[in-house]
Amino acid sequence: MSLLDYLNEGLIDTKGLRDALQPHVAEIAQAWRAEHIEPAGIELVAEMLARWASNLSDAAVSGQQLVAGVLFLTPAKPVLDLIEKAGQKPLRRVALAGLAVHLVDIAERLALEIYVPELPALHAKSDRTGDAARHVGVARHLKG
Amino acid sequence: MTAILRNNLSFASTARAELRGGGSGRSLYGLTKQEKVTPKGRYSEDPAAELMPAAEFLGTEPDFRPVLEDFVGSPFDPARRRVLGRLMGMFAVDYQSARNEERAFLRRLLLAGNPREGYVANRALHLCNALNVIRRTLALGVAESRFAAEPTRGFLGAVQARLAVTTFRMLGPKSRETIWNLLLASGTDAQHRSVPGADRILERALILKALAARRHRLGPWSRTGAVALTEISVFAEQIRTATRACLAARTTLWPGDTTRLAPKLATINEAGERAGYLAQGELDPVFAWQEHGARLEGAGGLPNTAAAPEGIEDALPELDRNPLLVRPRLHQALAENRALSRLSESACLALTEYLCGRKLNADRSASKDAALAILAQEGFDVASGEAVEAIRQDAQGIYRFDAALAFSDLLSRYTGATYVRRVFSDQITAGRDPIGQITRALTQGLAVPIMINEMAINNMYSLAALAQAQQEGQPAFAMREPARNVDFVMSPALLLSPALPPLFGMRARADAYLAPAALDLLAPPFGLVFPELGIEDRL
Repeated sequence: MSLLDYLNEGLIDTKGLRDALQPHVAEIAQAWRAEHIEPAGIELVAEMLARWASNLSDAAVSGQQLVAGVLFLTPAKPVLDLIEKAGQKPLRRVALAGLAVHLVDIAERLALEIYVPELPALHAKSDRTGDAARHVGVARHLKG
Repeated sequence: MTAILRNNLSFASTARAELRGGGSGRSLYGLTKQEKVTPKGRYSEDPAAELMPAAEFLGTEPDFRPVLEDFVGSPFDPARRRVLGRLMGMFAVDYQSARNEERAFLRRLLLAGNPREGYVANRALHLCNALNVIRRTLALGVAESRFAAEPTRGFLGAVQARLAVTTFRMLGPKSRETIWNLLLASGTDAQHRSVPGADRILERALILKALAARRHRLGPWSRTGAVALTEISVFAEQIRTATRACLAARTTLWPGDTTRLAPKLATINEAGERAGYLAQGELDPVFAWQEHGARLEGAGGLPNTAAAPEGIEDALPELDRNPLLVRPRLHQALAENRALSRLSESACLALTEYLCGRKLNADRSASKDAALAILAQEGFDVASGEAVEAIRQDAQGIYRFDAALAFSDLLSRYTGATYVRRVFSDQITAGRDPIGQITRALTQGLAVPIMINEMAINNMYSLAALAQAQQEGQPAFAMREPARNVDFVMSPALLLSPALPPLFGMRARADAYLAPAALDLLAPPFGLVFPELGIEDRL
């Protein structure tokens, strides 16, 4: 069973994006992390698709058309595969917007996976060394 | 910070907020002499929100009634102001303490074709600490109309403006210098004199928009970053001293100016393809400019006998070259390296410890040097050796580095939030409800990073609360520790307990959390509305 099979059921239902997508978001984010895919590229592809959807009136676009349209952003192959699979039936405005939001969710999850572990290092500082403390002391002395 | 906290407070009370006329004086209209006036003080939930219309309009207009009539039906109509009313509060504070350039900017913003979107941009740029002149430039680029026939179509969107600022801040030192020089040169001739008729504010906004459109190519491990910067430089030079009409028509593919249409647009008849073509033009002004043939209709042909002096409102200050500004980029490189593995784990650890000011033994020091050598060789404009030393000294001494802002810069483009570090014990001591705050953030669909401190060995690690969950019928948080690839459910009570179970480490306890504060929480992704999906602009 492929990672992308859930796309066969479509991304949206009558209420909006399907609730059942969230576990797949986590699964895909982990798989793409293992393939060294950067969230920045996914997020920009999502923006392109969202803008595409906002300009689309009654027409529909196929997955292949979408892939060709985002190639200038040089997305990774798994991202293109997802877009093509999601567009196996031509997507109209709302479905295309749903695909964009789905990619935003994946990019967000991937970003959390990558950047949250860096949080302690971002906040870390040393206990003040004797040397640094002496420098502060000297600075205070010079300042008067 | 003040703005963020005030904003949070206002968010908590969204449901019951009453603006009571919004301080514009409009409530006075319904008040007749016969009506009883309660002697109670009339305290606003957000006093600053009361001030904006009064400060901006009444300050310059002797008779405020015509001004108030202008409000009716507009987005600033007090009867319709909800969240937007609160946005105004931030600018009231600006206005009252502002110098002339800020006042001139606020007036220009209010008179623009799309002041509402401009306000949204200004607010988001405030929250992500954009430099004032850049904030004003981008907010005007958002608020001012490209085409007279479509007043709400600006030169860029509010979300694009915010992305431009975070992209600029996350650049390496050389790239930042390059972009800054382009911004400085905008609207000027070869002798660096301002050219009459050129619109340097819009030129700058478009350069920054082009930067945002290349944000995925400007990371610390990018192989095409230099090419991306060259594309921006060429674009900036080509549009330099262009007229406003030229910039408006030729940096988009939208057919708003029928005298300046992109030639290819007429040849695309298929609706889907046409929509994609227009979208690419909205995303990237460089692409649109090239599709128009990269032709300049300059103001440079005008007699330049009286070169316009640089206006006080668009004078750029000296570029901030503080070495601490590159620390987030260094951490971005280290974080992304976990997947890319260009640096060995030991080299990564050694460099991290060095940055944090810790003492390294000889082996670790060699690993750190190796890491810096690889960064210099394979990384794209990450940090100089001097900057690394300055970061280390800061961590050892006064520690002026703003880690929460740096984390916001790393994550905000994906989550749409900026983050404020809050220590659990401080919050509880102050009578706040950290669990309630985390729950509210999760309800809004925002993950909350949490730091755990193993006190016995002075080690910190991080988790993320991802969603609300149930544990034995009680509310709980679905948590994830990305570094170890572990998912689990945790009760709020356990999160606040003085000591977590041994499973979490040696004498571990939850130390602090990164509370998502308002940035784009109420705006749809990329500022685009799709009501069918429940994605609406709630501003």
